[in-house]
This record gives sequence, C-alpha cells and structure tokens, in this order.
Amino acid sequence: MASAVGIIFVVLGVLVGIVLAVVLVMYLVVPLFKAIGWIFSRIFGFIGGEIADFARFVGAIVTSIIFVPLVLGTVVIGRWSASAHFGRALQREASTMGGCLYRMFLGHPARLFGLAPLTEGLERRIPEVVRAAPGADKPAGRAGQFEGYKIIGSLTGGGSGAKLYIAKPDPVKKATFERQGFGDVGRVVIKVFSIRDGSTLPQIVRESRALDAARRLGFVLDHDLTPERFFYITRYVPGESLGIVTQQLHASGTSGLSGKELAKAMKYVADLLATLDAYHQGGLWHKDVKPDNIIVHDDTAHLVDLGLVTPLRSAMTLTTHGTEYFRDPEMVRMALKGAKVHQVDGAKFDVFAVGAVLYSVIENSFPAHGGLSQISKRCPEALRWIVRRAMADYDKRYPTASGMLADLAAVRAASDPFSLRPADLPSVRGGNAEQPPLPHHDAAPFVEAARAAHAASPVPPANPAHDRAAPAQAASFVAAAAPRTRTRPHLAVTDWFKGRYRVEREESVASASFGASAASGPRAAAAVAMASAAEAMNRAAERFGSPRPGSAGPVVTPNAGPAAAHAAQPRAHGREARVRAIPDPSRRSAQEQLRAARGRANAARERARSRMTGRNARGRHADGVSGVNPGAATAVFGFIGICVLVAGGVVAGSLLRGAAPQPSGPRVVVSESTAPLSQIPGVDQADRPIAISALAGPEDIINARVADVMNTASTRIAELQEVFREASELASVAAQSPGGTVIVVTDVLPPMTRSARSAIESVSARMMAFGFSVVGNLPGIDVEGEELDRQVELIARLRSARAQVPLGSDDAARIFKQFLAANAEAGDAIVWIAPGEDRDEPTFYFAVREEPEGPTIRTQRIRQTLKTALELGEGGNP
Amino acid sequence: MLSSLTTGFVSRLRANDQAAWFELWQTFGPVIRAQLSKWGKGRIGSQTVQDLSQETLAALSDSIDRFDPTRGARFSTWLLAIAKHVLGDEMDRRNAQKRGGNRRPVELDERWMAGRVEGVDEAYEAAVFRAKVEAAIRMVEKESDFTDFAIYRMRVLDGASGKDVAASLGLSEPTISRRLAKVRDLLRRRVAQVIATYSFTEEEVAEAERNGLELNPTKADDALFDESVAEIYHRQMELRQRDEEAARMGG
Repeated sequence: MASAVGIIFVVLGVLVGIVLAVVLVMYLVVPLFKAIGWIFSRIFGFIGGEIADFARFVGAIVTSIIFVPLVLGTVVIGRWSASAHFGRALQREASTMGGCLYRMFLGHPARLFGLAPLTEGLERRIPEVVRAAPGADKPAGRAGQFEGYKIIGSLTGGGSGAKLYIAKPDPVKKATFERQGFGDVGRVVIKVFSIRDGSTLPQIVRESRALDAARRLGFVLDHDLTPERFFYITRYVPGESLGIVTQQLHASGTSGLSGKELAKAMKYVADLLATLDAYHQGGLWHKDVKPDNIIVHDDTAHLVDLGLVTPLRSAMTLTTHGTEYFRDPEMVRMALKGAKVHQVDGAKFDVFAVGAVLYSVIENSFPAHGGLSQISKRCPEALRWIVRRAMADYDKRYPTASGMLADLAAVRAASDPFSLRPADLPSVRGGNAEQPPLPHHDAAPFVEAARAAHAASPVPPANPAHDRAAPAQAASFVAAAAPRTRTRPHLAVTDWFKGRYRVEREESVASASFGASAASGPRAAAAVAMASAAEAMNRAAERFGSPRPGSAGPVVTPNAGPAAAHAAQPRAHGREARVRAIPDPSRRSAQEQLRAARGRANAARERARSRMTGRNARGRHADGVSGVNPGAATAVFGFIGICVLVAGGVVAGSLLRGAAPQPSGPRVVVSESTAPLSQIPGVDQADRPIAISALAGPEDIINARVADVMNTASTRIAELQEVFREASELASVAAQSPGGTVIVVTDVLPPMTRSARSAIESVSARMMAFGFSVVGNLPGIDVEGEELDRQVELIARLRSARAQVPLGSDDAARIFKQFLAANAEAGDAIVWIAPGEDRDEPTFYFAVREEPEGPTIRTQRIRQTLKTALELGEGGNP
Repeated sequence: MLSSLTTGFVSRLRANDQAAWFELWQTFGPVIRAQLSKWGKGRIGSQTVQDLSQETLAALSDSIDRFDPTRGARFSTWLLAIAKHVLGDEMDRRNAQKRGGNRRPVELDERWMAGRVEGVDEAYEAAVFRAKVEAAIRMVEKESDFTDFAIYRMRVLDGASGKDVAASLGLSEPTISRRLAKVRDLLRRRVAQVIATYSFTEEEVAEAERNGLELNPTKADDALFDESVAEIYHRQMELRQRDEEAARMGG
C-alpha cells in the first residue's frame, strides 16, 4: 500500500515537475532567451550599422578622390561646364559622406553586415557621371554661331544626335523676347542639328515639325531652319534630372518614400502633369516623358527636350520613337500597324509615361513589367492605384493628364496619404476622371490660356471626339475653347420637313453675331460654332489682355512652371489680334481705331520704358538664375585680387621712382642738346666711368646747365614774340577785312607738288580766314549741284574773256576789271594762280573790282586784305 | 499536332506581321536574354545580349519558312535553337576576329526541328512557361474592366485579404468575390489560349496542369490556381527586374 502511495506520489511529483518545467520554460526561459536575443540583435544591429555607414563613407571618399582630378583636369583645359558637372557630382558624394557621419555618430540602426556598402552603387555612379559629361563648351565652325546669342557652356546631348549649348541672349534678343512676351530671359539652351555634325535629315525634319505650335505655347523661344542646320531655343533650367533627384530622395532608406520625400515626389509629378496638360490643350503631345527629361529646379519640375513633340492631329504615321519602359507598348503596336498620329490619342501615351515616371519615383527603378510592374516599396494605396490607372491599358487609363492630376492632388491634400483609400479618389468616387476640376484654382487661367492659344492655333484639337461632334473646323475651335464640362446642346426642331432646328442655348449669341439664329444643317452648326468661338476667345482676351478691375489678371500657377508663366502673357496680345479678325458687327470708326492705336502705342512705349527701368534696377541677377556659381565667384575675386596687386605695384613703383630725383622732359631736352653725355651723371656709367677729377665741380656743371637753359629760353621767347606779332597783325587785317567774294582760277592742276599744293591750300585758307567767300576749283572746296554748274560756267566765261592774254600785262588787268564790272554779283575780286618758274612756287595774280567813280575805301581794303592774304611782296602784280 | 491558334500565329510571323513579331519579342524577350546571359557566362555584356536577342528574333523570322511542324519540335526548343545559333555565331565571329581570319559564320543547326537541342533544361522550360502565363495576364489586363483587374491584382498578385480590398475600394466582400471570379475565369481561358498559341506539342499544352493551372477546374481548384498565378507572376517579375538591371548596367 505504502509502495503504491509512493508510486502515486512519485508520478504526481514527476507530473508536477513536468508542468513546472513547462511553465518555467514558457514563462521564464523563453522570455529570458527572447530578451537576450533582443539585446544581441540590438548590439549586432548597431555594430552592423556602424560598419555599413563606415564602409559607405569610405566608398564616398574613394569616389570623391576619383572626381577631384576630373574636376581639376577639366578646369585646366577650360571645360567649365564639364567642371561644373563633375563638381556637382563631387558635391553629392560630399553629401553622402555627411549623411554617413551623421548616422555613425548618432547611432542609426544598421541593416547590413560586411563590406558590401563599400562599393554600393560605385560601379553605377562613376560611369553614369562620366557618360553624362557635357562636350566642348564652344561650338566649332560657322554652324556653331548663333546671331544674338553668346555661347557660355554646353550640355550632354541625348540620343537624337543634337548638340546642346547654354547661351546668353544679347540685349537686343532679350528685348525681343520681352516684346514677344516671354519675360526676362536670362539663359537659354540651343539645341542644334547640323548635317556637318552628323545629324540626319529625318532627325531635323522630325524635330522641326511641331515647333511652331510649341512656340505659340511659349515652350520654345525661337527656332530656325537652314539648308545646313536646324536649331531651336528654349529657356535654360538649371538643376538635376528627376532620376538623380529620385536617388537622393531614396538615399535615406531602402523601404521607400515617406513623409517629406513622398510629398516632394508627388509635387514633381503634379508639376509634370500640369505642364503636360498645357501641351495637350495646345494640341501637342510630348512623346518622350521620362525622368531624364524632367529637370528639378527650385523644387519645381520642368519638362524639357522637345525633340519628339508631335501635333496630336498630325497626319503623319505614328512612329515608335521614345524610351523603353516609359513608352507605351500599345503605341508601338499601333505604330507597327501603320496607324496615323491623328487616329490615336497621343495624350494617353503621355499619361502612361507619367505613370511610369511616378512608378520610378516611388520604386527608384524602372517599370520593367509595364503595367503589371509591382510596387514593392512603401507607398500609399491610393498612389499605387494612380500608377496602375495611368499605366493601364490604352482604353482604361486616365483619358487626360488633368484627370490624373486631380487624383494626385487628392492624395497630396490628404492629411495622411496612407489612410486615403482608392475609393476616395475623384476618378473612383465620381466614376469619371475626364472632367475633374483642376486642383489649384490658380491653374485655371493658364489652362484657359492654353486653350485659347489652341483655339487660335492651326493645330487641330486633341480629342478626336471633338471632330466627330462638329462638322466644320470652326466647331473644333468651339470644342477647344469652350469649358471642358460637356453639356448636351439644347436643340429645338423648327421644321420637321426640312430638318431645320434651333440651338436654344446659343440662340442669342448666334443671332447677335451673324443673324442666323435658325438655319439649316451644317451651316447653322458652323455659325453657332463661330459665335461660340468668338465669345470664348473674347472671354480669354478679356481675362488676359485687359484684366477687369478687381480681377487677378494672368495669374499662373507655380505648378505650370516658369515657361508657362511667361507663356501666358504674350499670347494675350496675339490672341487679342486674332479675336478682332472675327467679323464684328460693332466695328469702330477709323477715328476711333486711330485713337485706340495711338493709345496702344503709348502703352507699349510705357511698358518698354518700365521694362528697361526694371532691368536696370534688377541688374545682372535678373535672368532668373538663382545662386552663385562658385567657379565664377572665384574667378571674379581672383581677377579683382590681381587688379589690386597690379595697381598696388604701379603705385609703389611710382612712389619709389618719385623718391629719386628725375629730370623732367624739358630739362632733359635742354641737357641733351647742350651738355655732353659724358658729363651727365648716370648715363653710360658702365662703359665710361666718370672722371670726377676732370670736372670743375658740381656747381660749375649746374651753372653751365642753367646758362644754356637761359639762352635757349631767350631764343624761344623771341621766336614766340615774333609769331605773336605776326598773328596780331594778321588779326588786325582780318578785323578790318571788308569781306566779299573772290573768284579763284588756277592753272596749277594736279598732279602738283606737295609744296605747291600746300601753298594753294594755305592761300585759300587765309582768304577764308579773312572773311572772303571763295568761288572756284580749289583743293578743299567742294560744291555740288547747281552751284557747281554756276561756278563752272563763271570760270569758263572768265577764261574765255582772258583768252591768251598774258596774266601780268595791263590788258589782262583791264580784262579782269571789265569782267568784274560786268558780273558784279559774281564776285569782288579775281585771283588767278599760275605755275611759277619753280614748279613748287605758284604765282598769284589778282584784280579787284573798281567802281565807275574810282577806287573806294572798300576797294582799297579788299585789295590790302587780299594782298596780305596772298603774301604778295613789294612789286607784286596788282 | 498544332492548334489553329499556333498555325495562325506562325502564319502571321511568316507574313512578316510586325505586330506578331513585337508580341513575340515582348513575351519571350526576357527569357531569351536570360538564357543568352546564362550561356555567355560573363563573356558577353548585357548590351550584346540585348543585340543578340534581337538577332535571335531576326534569325527566327528567316527560319520560319523552313519550319516543319510534323517533326515534333517544341516551341521553347524552337526559340532556344535560334538563340543558341545566334550566340554561337557571335562567339565564332569574335574568335575569328581574334585570330585575324575571316571565318564564316556557322550554318543554322536545324536539328531543333527534331527536338534535339543541347542545353534545354527544366529552368529554361519553366521560364518559357512563365512567360506564357505572363502574356495571358497581360491579355486579361487589357480585356477586363480596370476595377475588376485591380481587384484581382490586389487580392491575388499583391496578396491582400478580401476584406482589405473591399474596404480599400469601398465595395462589399461578395462583390469583390464575384468580380474576382470573373477575372479568374477570363484568365483561365486566356492561359489556355496563350499556351495553345505558343505550343507545338501536346506535352507543352499539358504544362499548365503540371504547374497547378487547372484549365477545367472545380471550385476547389480556384485557390490553387490563384496561388500558382501569383507565384509565376512574382518569379517573372524577378526575371524582368534582373533583365532591367542588366540593361541599366550595360547602358
């Protein structure tokens, strides 16, 4: 019995022991091990994180060391753009190093062990940077010259074979851009295709075909096509491509974007969608939307590279151009089937590309699986939905960029994007993403501007449905210019038999403009369409051309980008003009139009003046380029420093020279002319040492030099006194000159000696200085027209009168006096210049007209003055 | 025995239908590139692989006229033989360049028509099969309603629960189940169609069932079907991801 009880106790004890052991293990040992494991995991996590960050830090240093010689090398060879590029890459590496230091010293938990981060991205970063380096800064040959622009750098060309240059427009071009309404254009990008540089004709044609429309929309500033080259000019947007920005956004972690980074990413895509919406409203599609073509500057994304921009209604065959992963495979299929561009909706292909861009921003990778690509990173479900909707099949994706933008705006506006459900998105909630309101009311004017520009553009509208809705092209204008919310027209049939109807809603407009409230068939529709177009365009012109009091005017959303901002203003004027082209029953009178034209001219003048004032006030930093180029700043400071050093050297040199006694100019002349070189200290000392003993002493030398100077000065003073005396005599003669006209005839004709020419010129100048008017063919006296004819005739008659009579004879004197008496109005005296015995000294003969009653005082004065002027000596020919 | 779908597709290829060739490229391009990379063993870069895979399809278009379906070759073998020929041609060309001679490229080994091609392994066959399923998924995505396919994607491919999907889209769970079943049925039909199109032998047609894709299922097979599709989809995703990375590295 006892043994049985003992056994029972033993069994119970064992059972209790087992239970206790289990309990112990479950509630004590397991938690204990868990705690130990947790502590170890923390420790190892910390150590791993430290190692990883340290390795990453070392890797960044290694990369930086590689970049430094590249930066220096490009600086040495003068490739400034390339040096700036490598400098930026270096800056990124420095940023990575800073992040590593931050994580290392603030104990960020690490996820990796080993040395893998040492080469993390190294094999990709360096080739990417080297590959993306710009080419030469200056274009070669005449193909690289662009009138009105100064090339200041270059950019990496894409796959289109074009060369890209950064340039600054000259003041004239800038003024032109301002006048055209592009605003203040600081720097521009010139994309040039030159056959000499390897571009092909198809490339040139492809690039050039949509640029007129792009220019109207303000995306292109200028373009030109010549037999040898084609180029177009856009604004230069400095910054990084979205691909690089995406890498930076993902630098902080591998799990995906969150918080601020996610908000930034969505902002960039929203900017992109707003820009694309403007393209589509303007009748274009970009066709090459990808991260490399999106530049982020000042936290705003700008779409660049218009290489593949195509009119939506182009009659050309659809091509497969684009970039893999961002190009809709459906587009390729359609292109391979030979579809025409106008048969497809190109805007949807852009929407697909935006979806791919959004995917790449979220995933930091390409959508390799197309629409089926999986989003593995942390991402709001609503945003995931937007990506999938954008990359869905052609018929199921967002029909417009604005539809996608509305959904994206909803996610951006949510306080917690991760809590927003796809069901809350406007496109899902409303069931129609085609007509959503734009998220920012500011964007409305820009879109309206684009619509209005589209309305005035020859490029037909984007949506093929518009064509189907309207029978004439005018109707398409309505479709483009009218508000996007489509409403069914209210028609009232007026004549069942003939099929006449009336458009209830548009009746008043139609009758006001055309008096055609009721008409039949297509003509009525066209009339209504024209009226609606006129109304819409006038509305747009009112809004942009002449803001109403209290209205905000052409406000442009920041999302639309600066290009759009600048695009909004210019088009207002052009649009205004186009609006007037529509028949207007209330046409103004010619006087009113003239008054209005003057007013516009004054307003334009005021605008130009204010622009110039503003430009002067803004100074050099008004080109929209923010920040300071470190290289340029260094160069400026270096230049200033060199200038200061040079100036200091000059001043110091002059001070030092000033300390030593230096002879002045005149004294040197006097000394050189009067004192032997051997006696002047400091001259030829090396060759001829001065014999001090041979000199009488320093005082003698000084006295001798002073005496010489005094003699020279006395001579010069006497000469000057003579000159002054003669001048005063001449002045008194000139003062007493009665004036008059002197007929000069010369027989000394070219070629003449220099001396003879000088004498004749001197005489003529003196005569004119004494107040005589000279008539005749003298050097330096040129007359034309009737005066020349008169003088020629006068001289000819005088020569005829003299005939062969010798000049010094009495007969000659008598003939001259008779001629002067007969031609009193022709002149008061005759001077005849004849060759002298010495050909260098011509002989002057002169005669003065006498009054019939005899010589008068005036005659005597003329004779005296003329004699002085001719410097005739005693016994000259009277 | 070839199905009418297969002969129709082959006819399109023979007629040089660019869309058919693009479809082939889209569907099997990654598989060919992966196989070429595997054979190249680092001797050829990713860019060359890209070029060679295009050349493979070009060579395929040349040989399509000599295609004899009665000799029992598999579709996958057909692709592989061409790829191998193109790779061998490339390697010979390189060797010839190294030696400085002008060795002529090899003639296409047409033994594949009898199904005798070395290097055909299970991994390759599985990759080809996955590519076919992926093509079927794409077709379904194209044909079905966007929301329906989104439900299928969230529920099956992303692995979300029916309750979460319903909450996310603001629909009831029965609605989710109903629309899910609709897409699943369509996918079954499309898988059958794609496999019939890209299969030359009965053995290839039977691959679907061997891989858990019962094409004539009972109700209980739905879960297995979904699971198999999800697995195939994710493996194919991985393949494409690697293909894309290789392309990026190669520039």
